[in-house]
Amino acid sequence: MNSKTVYRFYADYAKEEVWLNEMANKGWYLQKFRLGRYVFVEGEPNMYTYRIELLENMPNHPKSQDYFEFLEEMDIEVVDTSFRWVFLRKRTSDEPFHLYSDFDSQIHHEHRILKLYKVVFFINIIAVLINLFNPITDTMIWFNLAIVTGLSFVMQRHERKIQTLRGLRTIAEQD
Amino acid sequence: MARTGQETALTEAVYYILLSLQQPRHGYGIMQFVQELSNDRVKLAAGTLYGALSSLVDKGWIEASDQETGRKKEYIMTNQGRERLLIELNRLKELVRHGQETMGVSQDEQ
Repeated sequence: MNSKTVYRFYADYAKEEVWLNEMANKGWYLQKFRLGRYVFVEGEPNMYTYRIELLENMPNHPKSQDYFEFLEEMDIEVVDTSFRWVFLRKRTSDEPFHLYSDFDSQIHHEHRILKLYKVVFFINIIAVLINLFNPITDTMIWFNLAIVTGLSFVMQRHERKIQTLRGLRTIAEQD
Repeated sequence: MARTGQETALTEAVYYILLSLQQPRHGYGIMQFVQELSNDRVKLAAGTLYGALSSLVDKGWIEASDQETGRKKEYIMTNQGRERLLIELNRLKELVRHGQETMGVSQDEQ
């Protein structure tokens, strides 16, 4: 079996998901993920659709394990997990694969992601401040500043996405 | 506007899940039942279904069956859930009646 490793960094899971599905269309299936390192295995093109989800708990938590069992009953495969993120896939021969079928559950998920962005954002703000007043590690500050800048952009876009969903939700439950 | 739990409208997903759980069903069974009942219109996605089931269990409207190892977890509606479903059914009837009255449309000519 052919495999290849690709290094990439995505802050926006939705773009990452699009990319994984483009790879799957070409016959490259994600098998392992570790912090920007994606391992793909080759197969017939377009066999699986991939979805990425942020869990409420860590993957080894009983609640997450219960959810994974539930997904398996639905023929949804857990490909890999990383922190609270999970990579899922389902055969394309089945119905189109989506995780959420109404606005409420979609908003709930997007909101969970926004909260994670905020936590990472504030940790980096604190790191910047520590580095400002205690310049022992003066190169780290640029790294943290880059994350803060990048994240503020991503968070704004994410905030708008949630607003749009909420707007749609005021008139309908789903599209 | 403050509302009590008795008056709030159920989401379509919750309404159909409760309808399906008049008898014990596991996750996939619920999805299939709802899809068939609604002639393929309502397709509950796995994440949405799981989230709804978890909050319905928390509310006490449904309960999960005692799970033997290796068996799929099944759910069933409680009496509380049934009461809530009846309230919703009456609310929906009222919606339909209001629509028919104000639009001058009866059930057979739509």
